[in-house]
Amino acid sequence: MSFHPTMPYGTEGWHRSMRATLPEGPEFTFSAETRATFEEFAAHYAPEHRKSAVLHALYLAQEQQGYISNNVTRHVAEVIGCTTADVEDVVSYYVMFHRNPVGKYVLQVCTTLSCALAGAERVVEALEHKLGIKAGETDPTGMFTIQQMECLGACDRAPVVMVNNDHWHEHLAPEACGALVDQMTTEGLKALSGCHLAIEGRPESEWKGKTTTPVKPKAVPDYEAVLTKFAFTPGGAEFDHYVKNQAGYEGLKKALAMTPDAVIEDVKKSGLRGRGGAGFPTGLKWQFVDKKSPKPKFIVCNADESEPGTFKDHLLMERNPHLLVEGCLIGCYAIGSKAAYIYIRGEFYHLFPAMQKAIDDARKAGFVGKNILGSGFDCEVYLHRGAGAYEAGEETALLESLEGKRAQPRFKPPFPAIEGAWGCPTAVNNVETLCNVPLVMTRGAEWFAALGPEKNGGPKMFCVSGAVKRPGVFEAPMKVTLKELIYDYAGGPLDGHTLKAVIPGGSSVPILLPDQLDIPASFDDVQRAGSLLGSAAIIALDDTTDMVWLADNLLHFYRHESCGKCTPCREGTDWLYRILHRMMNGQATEKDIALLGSVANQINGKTLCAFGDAAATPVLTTLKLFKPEYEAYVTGTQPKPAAYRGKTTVETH
Amino acid sequence: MRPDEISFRLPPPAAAIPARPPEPVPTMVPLTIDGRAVEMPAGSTLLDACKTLDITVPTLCYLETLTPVNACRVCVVEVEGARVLAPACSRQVESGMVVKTRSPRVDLSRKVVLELLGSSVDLSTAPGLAEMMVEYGARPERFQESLGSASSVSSVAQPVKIDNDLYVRDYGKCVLCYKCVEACGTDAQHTFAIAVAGRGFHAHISTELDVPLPDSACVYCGNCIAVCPTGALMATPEFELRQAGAWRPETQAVTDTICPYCGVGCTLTVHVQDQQIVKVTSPFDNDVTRGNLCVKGRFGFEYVNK
Repeated sequence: MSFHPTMPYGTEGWHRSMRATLPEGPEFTFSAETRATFEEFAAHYAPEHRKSAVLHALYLAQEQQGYISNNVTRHVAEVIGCTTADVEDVVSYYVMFHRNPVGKYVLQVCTTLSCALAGAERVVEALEHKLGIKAGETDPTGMFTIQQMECLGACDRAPVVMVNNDHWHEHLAPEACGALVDQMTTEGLKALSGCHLAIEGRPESEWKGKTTTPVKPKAVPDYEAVLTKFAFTPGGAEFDHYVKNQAGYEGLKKALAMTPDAVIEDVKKSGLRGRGGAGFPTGLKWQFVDKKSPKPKFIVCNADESEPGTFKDHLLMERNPHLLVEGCLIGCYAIGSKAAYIYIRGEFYHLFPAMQKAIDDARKAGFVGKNILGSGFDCEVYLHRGAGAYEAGEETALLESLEGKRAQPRFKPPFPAIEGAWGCPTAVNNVETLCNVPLVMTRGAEWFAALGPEKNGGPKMFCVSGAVKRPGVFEAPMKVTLKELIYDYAGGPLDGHTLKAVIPGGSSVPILLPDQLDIPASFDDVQRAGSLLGSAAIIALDDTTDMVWLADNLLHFYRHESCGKCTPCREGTDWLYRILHRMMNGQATEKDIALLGSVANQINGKTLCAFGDAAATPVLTTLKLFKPEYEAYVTGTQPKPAAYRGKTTVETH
Repeated sequence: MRPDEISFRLPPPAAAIPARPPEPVPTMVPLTIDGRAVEMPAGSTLLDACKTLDITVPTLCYLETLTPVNACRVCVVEVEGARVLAPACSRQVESGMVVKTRSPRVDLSRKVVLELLGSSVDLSTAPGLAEMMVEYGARPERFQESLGSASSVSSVAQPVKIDNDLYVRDYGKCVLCYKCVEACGTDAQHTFAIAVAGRGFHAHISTELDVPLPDSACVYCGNCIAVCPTGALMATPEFELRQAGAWRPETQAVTDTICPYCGVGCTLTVHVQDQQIVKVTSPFDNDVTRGNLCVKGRFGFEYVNK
């Protein structure tokens, strides 16, 4: 990653502990105002857990000075009350902190699978060509810096570019890069398209129909969207609109009239399963929380949506934030917690003020804070911002990150339900999971369970991206088939192309072939077909997709995102990437295919968390289904890269 | 703070000498390891159970005085019914568990971990690792063979960091076991001079901002050297003797004594070669030190050699 001490990676004499010297920078102290802002934020954590606010302190410092110099690290350590080494290990872990001075605009180009399928690699090239610099460098005028990013969670608007950690430009075609740079030079951030989900005050033509096409699933023809019904209604995210049109906070009222155990019973009866990837029954998870413990309990909402191909939680938080707030409150009530923390991935900075507004509005109406609705139930909802780490999506790594440490997984057992955040019993739930909880309360567990196939109840958000006509987020019960999602909802493959394969649940799950798609998109059915529903991130691959290139792209992602804690993953992802890269460069031999398979097999199931399995999957599944493509690379008979969308589609120079 | 809070006041004398609390009776958990039945107190780990049965489970990042971090994956064992292998150092015993410490899966996993480490790290001064490599048939060179030139290997030796008189840091030998970080941090010293920086393959042990040791928070207790399993951290006398080819552990006399400096009375283990003290350690099972010493006890022996 470019802003980390640049490593002459792969060159002779390189070692992981060699680092470029980092700038000391000018003397640094927080301005009085920034310090006050920080202290206000730090009050969200117990005084003894002040370190939890370290990421926030670093963001504030970066806002003040533009980058994190050594003096910044020292000052932050002083403010937090820990050693510099303790802050440095955090700064150097997360990718959103610039370690060197950067240009006025940092162009952060997503190059992970869905964006790469749409030509993101060409976008980087076009920007490099236009600015005369390489990715990771700043142009001589100090105006632009190019940074290559891993999945930004906007796969339906690929290729996507984030600017300065906050602003978005969607659908950036390689040939439009030059014009965008010129326009930004004169107009600044106004030149950017912005996030299409921010629809307020914008003409309808700019956002209408850009994502989520309402289609009725064949199995449930009278299905009406509940989670996303008002997603594209201007003002639909407001408190008043939520209360009036979505029976807002009625679920909370209903829950407060019940005992916490009865709430858990209801959630269990509904069959609600975790939407983050594992599909674990939510009611059961809540039941496991150690209620007898004298320690405080917590709900931690996992909004670190970063599995390549997933972009559903982003939409929910931006367009229906009160549903999440209400879900958090009901969850807290059920497990006997007084505080929920929503951990939002660093790349979704624009969601931070939006969610905060929702929480504040709910507080004004008496739904958050002390003695909610006179029931004696106190509850706070806090936001916590991550800083760029896929691994933080793993529940124990997320808890570590919440505690202001490196996002590295913990050993389980003990599970978070016994020892979670700050050693206290904790339930970690995905955004979409918590958004479904108010529905279970208002519409009833029976309604919820009846929507989908057995044990797969409720509405589900499906993200379809890749080589389809209308990529987007679609809400449907899990009776909908994968085929319907790809062909009816997302419009099917592009004209003149056929579907080659489908990744049904985010980049970490095995690939399915086109003839396996006529199955309900439910947790159990997809598993029976030999894959996993995961985060329901469906990535369609058409006949132009080179599977070796695909594995190479994903291993670049996994190698970059591995936390580095346990041996098989730290060293193994590096080896897999190296071998694949050699293959792409035409230097591989027959032996390499065997080595690739053996290394991937040997990471699988041998690591501390599931990351190792996830990293091995793209290699194992492509080797299993598309071995001839690997062989073609070894014999030098692979089709010319020009035929490949990911390699070259658009002439840029 | 108010003055009365800082002024020293004796606590009121107890009315009666409190009775000693009863010894907790541990619940015993039955389990089977390699076909042998054993009962362990609840809360003990699989590694403890293996030790009771005299079954050797190799470890790398585990030390009885430190909190397990589960980083190395060498101590994994197979628990019947579990999808993934369990690290013996952390997995607690459960009633009815059936564990295999050697199975094709376990052996393969250990072999691969050793190969992966061997492919990027210089393990030449790691005691016991060479034997372990032979036992599991680990051949790190198979990566090299496949990739050809040395330039395609990620991690090669780098210059040894010599920035103080007491110990050297040769991170070309570091396997990222986190032991030194723990010993410097909450498990022993609470100095927090070193931490892990970077991530993924770039993760490495570093002082704050990579400054030389004398500029860091280091207090030279040397407790990191004591726990290092590969010799990446090494006291200067040993390093210099090794450089000169004169390090002969087999000829060394090893004697326990008491530290001559302060009144704590730490046990020192003095390693003497050719009538010179070449190294000072402390036993990990010593109740006073738990293997830890301070700068004086660990490094202050020059006056004896003169």
